[in-house]
Amino acid sequence: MITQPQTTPVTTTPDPDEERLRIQTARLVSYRDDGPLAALLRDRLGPGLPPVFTTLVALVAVAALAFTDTLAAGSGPIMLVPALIVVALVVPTVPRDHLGRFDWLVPPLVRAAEFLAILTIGLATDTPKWLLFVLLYVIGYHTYDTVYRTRQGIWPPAWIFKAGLGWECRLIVVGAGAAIGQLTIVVAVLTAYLFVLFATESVTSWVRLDKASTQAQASDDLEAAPEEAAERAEAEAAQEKA
Amino acid sequence: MTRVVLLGSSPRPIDSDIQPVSPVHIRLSSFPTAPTVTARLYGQMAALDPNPITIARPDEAKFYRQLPGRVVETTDIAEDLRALADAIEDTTESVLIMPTASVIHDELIYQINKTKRGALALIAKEPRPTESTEIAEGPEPGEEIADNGEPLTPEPPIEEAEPEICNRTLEGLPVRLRAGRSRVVSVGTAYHAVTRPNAVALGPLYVSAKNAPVLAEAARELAGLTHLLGPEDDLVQLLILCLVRRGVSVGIRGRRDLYYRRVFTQADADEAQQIMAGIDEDRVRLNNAVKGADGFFTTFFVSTYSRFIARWAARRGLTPNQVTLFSITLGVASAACFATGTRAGAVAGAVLIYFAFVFDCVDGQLARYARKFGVLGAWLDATFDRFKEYVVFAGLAIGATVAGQGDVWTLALAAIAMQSVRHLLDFAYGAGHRRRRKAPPPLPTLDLTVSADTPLREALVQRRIEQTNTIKKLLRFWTKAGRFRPLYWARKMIVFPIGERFAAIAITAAFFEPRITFLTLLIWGGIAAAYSLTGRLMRSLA
Repeated sequence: MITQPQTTPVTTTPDPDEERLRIQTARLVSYRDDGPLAALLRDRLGPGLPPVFTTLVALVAVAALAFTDTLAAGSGPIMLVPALIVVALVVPTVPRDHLGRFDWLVPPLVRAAEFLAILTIGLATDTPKWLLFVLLYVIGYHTYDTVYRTRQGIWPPAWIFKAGLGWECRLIVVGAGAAIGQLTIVVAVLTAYLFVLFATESVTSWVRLDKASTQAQASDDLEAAPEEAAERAEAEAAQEKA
Repeated sequence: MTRVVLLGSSPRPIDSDIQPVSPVHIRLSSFPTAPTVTARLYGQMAALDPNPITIARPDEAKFYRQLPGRVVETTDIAEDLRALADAIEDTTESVLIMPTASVIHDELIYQINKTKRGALALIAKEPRPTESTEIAEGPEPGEEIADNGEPLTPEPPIEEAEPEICNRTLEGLPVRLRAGRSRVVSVGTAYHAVTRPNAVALGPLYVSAKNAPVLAEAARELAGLTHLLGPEDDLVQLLILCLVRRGVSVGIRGRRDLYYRRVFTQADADEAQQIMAGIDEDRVRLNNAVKGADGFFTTFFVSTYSRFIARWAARRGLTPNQVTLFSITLGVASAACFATGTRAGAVAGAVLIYFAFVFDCVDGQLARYARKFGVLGAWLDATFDRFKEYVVFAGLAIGATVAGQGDVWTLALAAIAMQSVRHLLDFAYGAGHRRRRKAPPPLPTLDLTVSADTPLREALVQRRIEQTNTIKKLLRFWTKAGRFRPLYWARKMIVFPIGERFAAIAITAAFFEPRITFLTLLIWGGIAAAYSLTGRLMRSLA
């Protein structure tokens, strides 16, 4: 579990520094999109593995599989290998607080490993590529949606991460589907399920939020890269010099 | 919401015998209904705070009582400081402090009030003497002239300068503030000496809810020291002194293309009206609706005219969400054209995706111009930006299959995966990089009873040294290199922002086949990822 502010006495306001760090952890963890398996194992894994290095190793391992003919068979237990590599290596990084110097690399690395594994498995079978495209879009949509929400200071409910299966369960489902030789059907069902889930939950909660708050922040720019924001501030400062 | 505090008392100018006239007696004859300066200002403030607090002298209080809000009567500067502390110490809203003698554009009030800084002061810097103008035009106000009438040789470096109590004035206010690049470094009074003062605080001061209690507490302390101050010391300047000495970072901004004037006489007001008549406030507001720091393509091929579409849409009463929906329609139509797999379809698709992007910019500009911000609008805009881009990928891949140009779906898959991960890299870096275990050291503080600001400067220098290392120097150099415009734009282009991506899709799809489009996206995207990763890893290391 992430340290929740409830653990501190309600009468004292939380230390702003602690609060900041707690939010930083919560944001990066939510961007990772961990699912039910990760939630189940989080407290049973001890201190956990260093996230950046371990995830990088998982990504490189999947890339090695992708560019060799290991999965040429197209079915059978071997198809579970990419998924299992990523799950075995990356799930143990879940307990970490993600406050390390380079830990902002973890969410993109996790997503890259997930996408690469899905593509490796999917392309080794004759799954329609447009279907894989839709699956990546739907998973990507959920990630963007999480980011846009946390940027507005609101958090997606915990159940949506579990219902969305997380990267680890999605990978296991895809790997298992390929192993039994039914990946097309499995991906179709998974994609349809995730689409309905993410779309309805996201639209209903945004509409509810919109009604609740009449005015958003004046410069709500949900997409800006951090450098852009910094540069805008910089540009304003530079104008004063002139 | 905002708490507005209006300051009725004026400082007495040092360089003249002019007796300030109360703004309740100064009329702005060129405005409709010829209001007094204060009546106009109260009208402007009504939208922020319908019940402002005015701190005024007893002889003027009756005039302020005719206006909305509450009036607090005070007889001297110490009482002013205490009244202000009373007005703001329990606030949960941000505070906007403004002299009642202010003639100001609405747009400027809006821009100051929406700052994200903890405190912001409107300042005017003293014009710096330049060698060519010095001799030809004679001494500028505030320029240092040697006894023989020759301009002084270049000033000694600031490290050798002594703190001074400056009696030069700018716009009737004593030059007793040292402004740095982005914030106030030091403020003085008739008692507090400043090293190399270079600016005046004009009047408006924004203070966030978090810093308001700090200001209230310091103002109370300063109220006990007012015997040290001079009649020329302005209340706003004293408040900034309080903030700076308590280690609050007070941001600065100039008037830029808008107007502000503290009026002391009817003549000041007449001049102010004349200058304001020459400024197109609506145009400034429209220009301000264009996001700063946009990419090259967006800046030069879209924003040059999209703002006029935004203004037209605002006048027609269109909402940003309607524009977003129109943009989505264009994006889907573009994908459908690409999916035909014909040359004509590709050209039509390219034109449509360009306009989908134009209207994508228009919706944001319209929202900022018309100030119609909504949570749903921001979400709709961001979410469907992604949708438009990826639906076009799919359209291109279908088109290539239809035209028998081979299977480019694998490239499309690589492109969507890369772009999603690249976005997540931006987001995760934004969420996680700078806030590590240790927060940056706070700004130094200095007791209000100390006259010279030397200890403050020394602490700042020390803080800067402690924060510097080789990588930081390198990064600072790279930031400064951005002043060289071609490099600035090259750096903007290399990160492959949305404008460049849409342009790359449109151009390559119109002239070549989808395979080339995807290869362009992958190669440029790869270079962009490598470039931004390098910079970010270095920043994390610094």
